[in-house]
Amino acid sequence: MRQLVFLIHGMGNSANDVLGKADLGKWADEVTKVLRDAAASFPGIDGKQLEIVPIQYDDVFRSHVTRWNALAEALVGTPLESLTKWMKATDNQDFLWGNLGDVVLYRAFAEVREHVLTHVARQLFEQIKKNGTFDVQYSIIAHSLGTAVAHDALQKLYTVGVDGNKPALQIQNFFALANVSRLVWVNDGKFYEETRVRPPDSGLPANQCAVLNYMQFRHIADPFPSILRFTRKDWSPEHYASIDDLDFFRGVNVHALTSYLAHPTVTSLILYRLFGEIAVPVEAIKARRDAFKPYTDDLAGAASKLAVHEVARMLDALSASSTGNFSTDFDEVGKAAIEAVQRGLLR
Amino acid sequence: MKGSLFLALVLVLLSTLRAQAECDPPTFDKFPAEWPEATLPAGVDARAKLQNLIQQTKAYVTSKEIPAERQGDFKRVADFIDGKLAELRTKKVAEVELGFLQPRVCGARIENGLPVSECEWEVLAEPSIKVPLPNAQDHWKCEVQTKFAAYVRSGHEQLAVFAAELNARIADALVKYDQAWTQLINNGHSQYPWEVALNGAWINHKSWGPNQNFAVLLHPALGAGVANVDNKNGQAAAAAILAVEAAGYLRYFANHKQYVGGGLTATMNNLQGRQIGLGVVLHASGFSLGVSRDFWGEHEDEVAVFWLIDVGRAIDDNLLAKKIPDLIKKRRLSPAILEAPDLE
Repeated sequence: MRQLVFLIHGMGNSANDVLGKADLGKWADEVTKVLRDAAASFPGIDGKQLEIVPIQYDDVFRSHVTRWNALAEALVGTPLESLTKWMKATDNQDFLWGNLGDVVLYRAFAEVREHVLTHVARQLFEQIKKNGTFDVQYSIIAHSLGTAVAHDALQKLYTVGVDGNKPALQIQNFFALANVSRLVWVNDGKFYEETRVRPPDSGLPANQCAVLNYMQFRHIADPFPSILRFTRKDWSPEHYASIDDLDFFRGVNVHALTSYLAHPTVTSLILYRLFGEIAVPVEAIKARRDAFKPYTDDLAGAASKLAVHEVARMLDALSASSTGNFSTDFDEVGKAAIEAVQRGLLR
Repeated sequence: MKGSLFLALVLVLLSTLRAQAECDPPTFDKFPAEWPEATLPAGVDARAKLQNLIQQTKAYVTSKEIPAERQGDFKRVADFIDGKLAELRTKKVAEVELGFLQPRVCGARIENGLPVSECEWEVLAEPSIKVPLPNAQDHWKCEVQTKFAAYVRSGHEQLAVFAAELNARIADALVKYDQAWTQLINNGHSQYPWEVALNGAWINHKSWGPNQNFAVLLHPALGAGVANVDNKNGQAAAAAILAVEAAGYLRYFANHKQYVGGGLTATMNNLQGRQIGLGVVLHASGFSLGVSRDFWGEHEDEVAVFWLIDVGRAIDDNLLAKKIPDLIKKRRLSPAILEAPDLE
């Protein structure tokens, strides 16, 4: 059966993309290649059965910030310049606005968020309309902010519907890499109760579950999914898996999607879920995992291992401070963060 | 005798060949040509699996998610499959499942980063593997398998057709809503961040499109004004205008291409020397015209008519977005007001 996989990017994707138009889709080329290469390494997988469709939403962010930049530019030299010059920064693709800016825009501006959700849902359903539901299964690989975007789009589709119609299909697999869908809605105490982006045997009737399988991956030193972790103990392990102990180093940006996909466990398990045990034998997964060197054998490898583990230890401390009471979680996490940093400085 | 035996042998051979020819189910390159029977788990009951499928179909039929007018169609499909299943049962087909099952990974749990092989098995619409030869030789069994596959596939196909209708409706509606958003961004009245935040506060989260009603709040804009029509000197003057619309309202039409609205605005200009005034501005699909009366400056109570440029709206229009504001700021229209006014 054909497997159509939607690839949903994370924050700061358009950092090198002027106006969000020129390079649409190019961001996914590298990721697609990694997945295709991994698939090709399993003789049982027919590469023609794997279709990867990138989903773009950062063009929505760009459309807003470029206009804000233009508005601020027009006011340069006027008495209002000082009040609006900060808006020009939103167009800068430095770390702040190129990365966290997307999160701020998505979370703090409901209008932007709703636009993003419509934009993403449209792309999903254009493909579903084109390909139908016969002899094809749909899965989502979402990364970072994309996990929240994908979650929120599915949640809206399966609860509100569109003009009274709800999707007549179930997403086969939801792969969340650096899952921040919980963090983005940190103050929503009913997040787990109300989410439909859950597999069967997870507390809701099966026909209310938007996905059949849910699998998430977390690098131990990735700060974004580690502060407030997506954890479900009560979801059926038959349909839900959390691989939250990825311990390796392939670059400083351990949060990057390409970094996650560098680990054979990630790609192998994704392909396993997509193509089944005959095509992706457990032994082959194990062999790839065993052959993988998480750190180089030299001094740099030892240093990076130390650094990764130190960051992971601090993140564990932060995460442990979560009280479960989300109204106070931010305060507690904040205090713990300060303490952790102070401890680190005093060392 | 030998001739009879030879004839019988030929008949058996022909029958076998016919059976194989008729019952050569679709194969996939990724699977081996022959799949050992021993790999099929003991006790798998394909009929129970199919029964489960039918029950799910019926539950789906009666759910509120299927439009009432389509429920009859779904039910007919489910009954059709059900009837054929009963037909198969009466023939006591024990091995009908062979070739129509595959391990389903959804049942496998992941432990320590590796799947634990506890696969469930599911009925397929068609054999995922080539039917082993020993079974293919049984023409009757082979025929049943082929029919069975056809029935199930037919049911799946029809269900997929109905699903496609629903999904197409969703897709078409989402295209319409997404286009409305694009229209709002490209052709709507531009919004400052605080206006985006404000208007998001009452957005309809059950809709996929933008609001029809928008507030304008503390919205600066540059423009050009024409001097007081009752200029005592009888001379009209043109100058740059800096307006801040304190509060306003916009109503968009359904496609979000057009809008109308208006608001109260403060203006700074130097039409007749440095002036500060209050006025009203009217908006209509990209045009913003206003009139203000100066209450502070060298010529109080003078009236100015002005036109404001929506730079954000004209982001793709280089002339509007860049050159006109530059012209204004370069004081080509008149001595400008680019420094903060001296209010003393």
